[in-house]
Amino acid sequence: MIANYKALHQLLPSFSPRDAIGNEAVIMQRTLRGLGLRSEIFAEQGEARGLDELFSTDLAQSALLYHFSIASTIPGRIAPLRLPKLVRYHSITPPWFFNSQGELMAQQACSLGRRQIPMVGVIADAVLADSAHNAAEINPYSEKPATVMPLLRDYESLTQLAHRFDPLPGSPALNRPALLFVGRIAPNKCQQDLLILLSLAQKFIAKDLRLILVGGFFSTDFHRQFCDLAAHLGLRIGADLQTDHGADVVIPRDVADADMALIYRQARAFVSMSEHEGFGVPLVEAMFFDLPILAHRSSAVPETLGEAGLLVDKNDWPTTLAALKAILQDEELRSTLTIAMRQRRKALSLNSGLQQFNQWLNSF
Amino acid sequence: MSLNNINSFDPKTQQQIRDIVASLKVQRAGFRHADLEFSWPNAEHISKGDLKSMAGLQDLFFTHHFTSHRRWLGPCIILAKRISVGLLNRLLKISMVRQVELNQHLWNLALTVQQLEQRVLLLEQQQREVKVGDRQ
Repeated sequence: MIANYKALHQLLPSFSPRDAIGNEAVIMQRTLRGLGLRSEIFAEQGEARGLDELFSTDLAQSALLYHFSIASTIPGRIAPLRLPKLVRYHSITPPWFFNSQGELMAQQACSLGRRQIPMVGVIADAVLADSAHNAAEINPYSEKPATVMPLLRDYESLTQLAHRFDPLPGSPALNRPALLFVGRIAPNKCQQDLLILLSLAQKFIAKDLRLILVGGFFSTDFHRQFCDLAAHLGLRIGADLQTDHGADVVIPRDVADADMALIYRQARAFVSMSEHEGFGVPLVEAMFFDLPILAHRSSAVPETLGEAGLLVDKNDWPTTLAALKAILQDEELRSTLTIAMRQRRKALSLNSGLQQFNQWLNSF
Repeated sequence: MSLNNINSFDPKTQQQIRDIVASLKVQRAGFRHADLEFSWPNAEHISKGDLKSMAGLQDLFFTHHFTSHRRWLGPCIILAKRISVGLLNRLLKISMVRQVELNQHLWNLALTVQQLEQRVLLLEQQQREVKVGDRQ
């Protein structure tokens, strides 16, 4: 029972309040403090207290919650501590996605991180996984099966943010129907397949379709390959969403939350060809904006989506394209999907997540 | 949601789509290892070959301990990269009776091999003392 403890501190390899995991840590900290517990965030890197400070903190009647998402020294350092160790498992991208010279660091970090799964599973007194997909990775090593709880995130605030701003000033660029994907532009997210999808969609569905990608490039190698493929397909890449109406693929820079909300509202469909998602926050964000979703059936995507989107197999391009056409043009299907999304997002809302978190805290 | 109600393209267009994608094979293959579509192996039915590829080990010492105590698999892989087979075997032997202590001490990746050996010696000594005590 959490009531038996005076403190529950969170540990992260790196912390930024803006990324999905950091944002969840902040929400958890607020919740824990609301329960009267001391709660600090310690991290090896980033905008939090340094990990070393943990070891000079009074840890009497404390428990630790480790957000496990990449290799770090944290499991080795906390293993000897005689404190309850809770693990929030966010999944680690399999290293085989990263194979170019410029991605070796990521490959190593993911490879070592995945090799730490057994160790983290064994030292954990309780595991909280973002999805059943993630739970299945760590369950073989942990004493008790992981509890599944979706990532905590205040999606409602993002949608409210959109309403506080007027739509971007009208421009020809914004009149073009857009497909949207949000996420780091990286090999496991497979944005290269979105280029192919766009190229096919322009040919077989609507000539003026464009693709908006929000996210930075993961590596220069991937950037080069991506640009080469776009050029091969005759797709022009631009960076200005409002003025560059000739660009087929727009990759806007420095997207603030308010801009992000407007982009979700502006897009016609959310498309994902990603091959590895431990949860898939942008899928849920799209649901909160009533934006119909077409996604590749992989990793945690089907369970995050539930019935609230269309799932396709990666190599079945004719079906993928037909599904995209239906999502874009069939108003009845769009209405059905909207109803399904509104239903699904109840289970993924912050309120629902906080209830689950409180139950979990009282269960160990 | 099911795709059953989605009207597909006519067969000729479908073939055209497939042909276009097939023509992109070379461009697509550059993005990642072609056809490297294996999933992370589950420890319950992991093979010796899988283990080697997972850990990149050349000298993995495979004993019945790995299969009968799958909880030990990960730590053993990590340790096996750094220590001798003899020391690993001594660790595994201790692990059968002193799991808690091993949890506390051995999964600290910051330990040097020398420190590990000292821990093993200590634990073996403690184990002998327990057995002597049992007999008395």
